Amino acid sequence: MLEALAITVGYGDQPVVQEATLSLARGQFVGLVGPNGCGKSTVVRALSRVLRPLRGQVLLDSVDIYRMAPRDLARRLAVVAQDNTVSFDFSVREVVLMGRAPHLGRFGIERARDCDIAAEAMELTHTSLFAERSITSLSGGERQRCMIARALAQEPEVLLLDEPTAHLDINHQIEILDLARMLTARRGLATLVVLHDLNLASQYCDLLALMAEGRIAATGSPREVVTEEHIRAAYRTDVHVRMHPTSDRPYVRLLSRLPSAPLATRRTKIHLICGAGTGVPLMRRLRQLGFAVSVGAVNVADSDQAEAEALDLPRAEEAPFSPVTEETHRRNCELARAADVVIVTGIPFGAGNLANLEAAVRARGVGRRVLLVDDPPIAGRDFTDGEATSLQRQILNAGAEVCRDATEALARVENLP
Amino acid sequence: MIAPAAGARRSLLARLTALVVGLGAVLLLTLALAANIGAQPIPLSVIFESARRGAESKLAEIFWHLRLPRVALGATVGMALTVAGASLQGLLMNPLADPYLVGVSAGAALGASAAVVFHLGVLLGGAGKCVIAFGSGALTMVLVLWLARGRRQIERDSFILAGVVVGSFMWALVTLLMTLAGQDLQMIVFWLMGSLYGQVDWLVVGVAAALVAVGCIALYSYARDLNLLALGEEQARQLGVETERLKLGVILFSALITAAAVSVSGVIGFVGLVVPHIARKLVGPDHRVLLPAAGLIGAAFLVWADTLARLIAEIFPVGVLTSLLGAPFFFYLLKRRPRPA
Repeated sequence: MLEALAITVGYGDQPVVQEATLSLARGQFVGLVGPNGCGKSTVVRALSRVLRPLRGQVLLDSVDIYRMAPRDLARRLAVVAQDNTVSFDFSVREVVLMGRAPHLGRFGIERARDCDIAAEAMELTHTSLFAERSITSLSGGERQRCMIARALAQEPEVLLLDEPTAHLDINHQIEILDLARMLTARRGLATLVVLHDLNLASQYCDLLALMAEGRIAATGSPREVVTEEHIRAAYRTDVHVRMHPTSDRPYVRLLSRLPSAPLATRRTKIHLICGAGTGVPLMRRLRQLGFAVSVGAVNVADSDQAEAEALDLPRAEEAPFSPVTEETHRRNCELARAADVVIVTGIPFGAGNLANLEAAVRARGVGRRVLLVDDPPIAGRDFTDGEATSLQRQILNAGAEVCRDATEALARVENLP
Repeated sequence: MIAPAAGARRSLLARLTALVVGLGAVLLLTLALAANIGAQPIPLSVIFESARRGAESKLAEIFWHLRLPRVALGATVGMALTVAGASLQGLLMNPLADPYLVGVSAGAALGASAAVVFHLGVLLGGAGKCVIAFGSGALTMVLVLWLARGRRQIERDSFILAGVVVGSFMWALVTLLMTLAGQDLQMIVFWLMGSLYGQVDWLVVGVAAALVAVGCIALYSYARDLNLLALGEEQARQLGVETERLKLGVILFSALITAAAVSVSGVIGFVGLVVPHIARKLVGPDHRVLLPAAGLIGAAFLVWADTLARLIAEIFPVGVLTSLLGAPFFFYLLKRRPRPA
């Protein structure tokens, strides 16, 4: 549909984009990502006949767009720009109707059909409600939706969106991208969307092109493009890339370059047995209090694991969504034995992670102080037909302490040396 | 959704028709009344009489050869200045833009002053001053355009700057000429203040009106493109507007009608700046409605202003009056709440 063939684009003689090749097919939702200043918007300018490439061609169905009349192109290709300020207080309807301009003659006035098309575009984008309001009175998200409605009124085959989610709150980001995806599917559009949020891009796009320093560094599915290597090369930044458990698409976790946690200033070592996010509130707090903390038997991609990784804590780690293996259990027990205090959080127990309680039994068996955070009470989170409950009772009988919640557990350890 | 859409469609055509008919009627009434009002009231019967059997009385003479051309010239100049002002405000997206920003007025003033100082006014059957003023105004515009032209395109900000700079330079030359003018100084000052007095030749009026008509029609053909430009230059191009042609066309035709107006009336201030704002407050920003509305309001406004000036004193400069009348009205509009949805 729309192809850029080895385009070199620049301002004056200074190339900003070098030899970029891209293609966009009907029904595809393609994301263009890359660091600030890498040339994403310049590519959009070249693709929309605003900035003629110094070398290379942009073809729309094999016709060079720079040989087409601007109006002919505007009937087939619409652009939603990043900057959406409007100089005069046109009403929303007037702005949306402007999308019909390429279809009208010089003195032409919009006919019934044009108004119907604009009305439909406003329905789709949920902008009909404020059709008569002034465009200058709208919020960023509303104005962005108007501009999408205006682009739709052009009845394009190709839609280019330059950072449609910039400066928007997350609810509006999702709204805009859902809308763009839905329209791509429903109208069979070929859509290119420039995004700077890698996670949004990965989640929404069929295909991604990653730009760095004016060149296309990688293209392909999100899984192929969003990798730690590519991101390190493009952004000169180390990140962790994990597969998102529900969407099965890669997501990027940022790593702070600052030392991740204060150094241990106390002698006491604490081993935290947790999972399913129950350890997050304690982990950072314990570390801040200056304890040496280790973490036990957490699954990769679990938020407890992520937190432990972020804090760079020693940990017993299991593959995502897998039961605790013998090897991980052994490591968990070693970490617990090496600690002075073992805290067990209010983990929901199933057959797969019962080993966590067994590790606590063994730690108590070799004389470690064990705190059980019974929040919520065990009965509500025991999915093992009572096995977890009886193990907990066994630990308590062996002299472990029970805490009502994480705060109480913290209170009991905070005076330790 | 069909009903409001149909309503919106009807509204543009209906608004245009209602506006042209309504404001057109106001303008015609204005012309008729204004030609009638004056130091010497002229009964309608005298006019009808002379229209049927040719001018014969003194009163008919005043009406056909003094009042009517002056009123027609007022309408022409008023329309030219407001249409040029509205177009330039739309093009430059600058509420302070007015027809004189382009430097045309300064150029025309220089030409007119030179014509006065070097006694060139008698050339071309007495139209010499107008022709020279028009020519120097047009040349100044070419100079401004040449200065503002970047590598490939007209940058709107550099265009404004170039207009201001060239204008200041020209005004300096006008001041210089004034120091050399001696007895003729009063004529220059009078011209600079802007007045419709003394330009009552039908030929001059006819030529000016023809130029203004051509310019206004040409500018109207850019009306929708000016709307799209409000989305930003890049967006306008992505909507199929050939922005360089648009800029060149709007600047050229605004300059043309401004030069035509200035060369016959001097520098009448305020009309081109404020009447477009008044019109925008009344009919909204759509240039397809705004340009005709502004033009008709401007024409009627200047005719009334000139009539009032005539009543004060036959040679009272209308330019002084427009500023005295218009500025407070504009303050009032500014303070009122914005256009309701």
